[in-house]
Amino acid sequence: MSDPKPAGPWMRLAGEMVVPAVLLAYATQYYVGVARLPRPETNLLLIGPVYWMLLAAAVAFVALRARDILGRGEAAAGERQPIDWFKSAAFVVLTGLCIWAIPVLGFVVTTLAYTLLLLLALGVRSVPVLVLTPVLLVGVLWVGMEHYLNLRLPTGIFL
Amino acid sequence: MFDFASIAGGAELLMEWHLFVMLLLGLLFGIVTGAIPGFSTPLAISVMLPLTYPMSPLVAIVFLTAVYAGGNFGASISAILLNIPGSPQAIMTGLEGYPMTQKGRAYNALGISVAASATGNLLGSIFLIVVMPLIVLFALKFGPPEMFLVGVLGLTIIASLDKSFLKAMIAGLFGVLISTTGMSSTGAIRGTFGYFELMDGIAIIPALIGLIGFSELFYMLQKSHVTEGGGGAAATSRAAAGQLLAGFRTAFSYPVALLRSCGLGVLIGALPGAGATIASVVSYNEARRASATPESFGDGAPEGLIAAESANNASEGGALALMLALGIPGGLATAVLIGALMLQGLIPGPRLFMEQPDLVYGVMLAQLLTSVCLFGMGLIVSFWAAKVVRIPTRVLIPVISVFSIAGTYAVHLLMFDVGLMAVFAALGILLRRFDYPLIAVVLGIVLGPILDAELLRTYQTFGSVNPMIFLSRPVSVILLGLLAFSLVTAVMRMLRDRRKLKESEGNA
Repeated sequence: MSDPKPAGPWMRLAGEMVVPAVLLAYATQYYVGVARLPRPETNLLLIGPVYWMLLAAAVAFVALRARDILGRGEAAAGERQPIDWFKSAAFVVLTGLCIWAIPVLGFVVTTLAYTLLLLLALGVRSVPVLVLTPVLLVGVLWVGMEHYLNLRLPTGIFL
Repeated sequence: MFDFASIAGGAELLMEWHLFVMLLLGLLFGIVTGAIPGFSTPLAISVMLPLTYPMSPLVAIVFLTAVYAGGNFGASISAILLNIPGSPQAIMTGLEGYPMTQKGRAYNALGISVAASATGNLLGSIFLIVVMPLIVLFALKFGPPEMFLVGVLGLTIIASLDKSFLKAMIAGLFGVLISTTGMSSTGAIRGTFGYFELMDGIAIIPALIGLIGFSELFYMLQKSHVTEGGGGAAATSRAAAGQLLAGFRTAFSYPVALLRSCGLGVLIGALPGAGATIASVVSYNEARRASATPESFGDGAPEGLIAAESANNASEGGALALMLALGIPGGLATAVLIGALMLQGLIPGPRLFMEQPDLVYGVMLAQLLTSVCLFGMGLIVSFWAAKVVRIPTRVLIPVISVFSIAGTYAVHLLMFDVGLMAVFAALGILLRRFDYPLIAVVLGIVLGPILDAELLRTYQTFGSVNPMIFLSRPVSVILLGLLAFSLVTAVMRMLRDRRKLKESEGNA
């Protein structure tokens, strides 16, 4: 695990700006898109006031944080606990691959492989756990959903 | 007011052993599926619907309402143990229940949840039988302006969700904004990027599981166990049962909070379109406002857990009252139940009361029986379910992850929803990294469509939206008063907290 290194005030402020910037960018393109639609008076009835309040809140937040971090030297917000980058990256990459592969390979095969690989990546070395967990998990889901609840799981090249 | 002959007739209809067995099976199925992330109560009722074709109307409806009651409680189990609400109505439950689990008090939290849920359900059922006509008359006074204000009242909780008011505002307003995605009732298509799957708006389950569930798994990776220090839950079965029962008793040591939340739950449940989520949010907010220790909320306060759980379960009584008396669904689950009644050749509404009063009272009394059974079955399922926190996270995370993917897919049988969940998971990890309250985004997504639809209906009804519309309607004025009261207390609390912080900084 690696501990986060203390950053300079400008870097801390930049970090704090990430969320308002991302949310505001999406909100602005959404607001502009809706405003261009016919009958904006009805379409913007709720969206208009909410967007302007969001903008005002984001501007106020940025101003206050800039004053606190640059002026008073406060620490930036964030999860303080150390992060295991290998496990985190493995989880994100494998989950992304799993979601992409389900329609291609099928739910059963993909989730079997996903569970096995994720267990290995998270440090499980016991052979019974590595074998039984994916098999039981996928078996229960497949039998329960396909046969008991009549909910069809996605299939691809395989099941 | 009371039709004793019909009540007696209804009670007689329940004197069949197989009806009781179906009730227990429905309850168990509802609890188990409710605890699976993504497996919402309406979905659980829908998948059970085909099984009810060969059943008699009473058995079918009793079975499905038992699934409904079980699902409402079951959603709290995963929220308490893993901070992954099984359904949206459990979002406030996780806010108090999960911190208790992290402190090794999972059994306590589950005991409180069982007692509050079953009591909420029981009082909701009693209300259903005793004051149903009054509830329905009251609910009918709520037009679009009033429903809009109920939504705003639910949103005011955002003000008290986080130490940083601005962060909570940003998160909540963003949630409201994205909740308006999709085709509006005027036919405008907003922010779908060409995906037809977004025409109905952002589905709440993928958003909920992605934002709260998957982001929780990401940070759970850094720990060996869910609970602090590992293991956490009681070491022996006897100790576990003791903690569960102690939690059960705790719920009754807050009688005012319990009764107030049940009352709010029934009233809000009877409002068309409001549902269990708003009931739990408003009730939680009121419990926090009325509490002698509001600072303990968000850190495992039993009062908060009691308020959220009792209100969301009591709302079922109000929703059923509206459904049976007027044929109006209070939410998605009761809409599916109306479908089930119609499949049995019954049309809910005043005529059903006149033509088959025994059956209607039979359903109401069965609801009462379901509540009593929920006390026992809730404790049994909770006793076993809590053992999940003993499993190391390296095994637990892959299992929850696959269940979440399957549960999200099952909502509409679309992989698009799973992709959407991944997008919200990324957003959730980012927001959590910078200490934004995720619950504010979820509240915005849940309440946004109600606000949007009701504001538009107000505009269409009155030709404009201006303050006089709200000030000229008695129920609106009452709601505006509540809103002002709620906001003023939130602002006063914020100012008091800030003053305390400055004083402590000065002392340091």
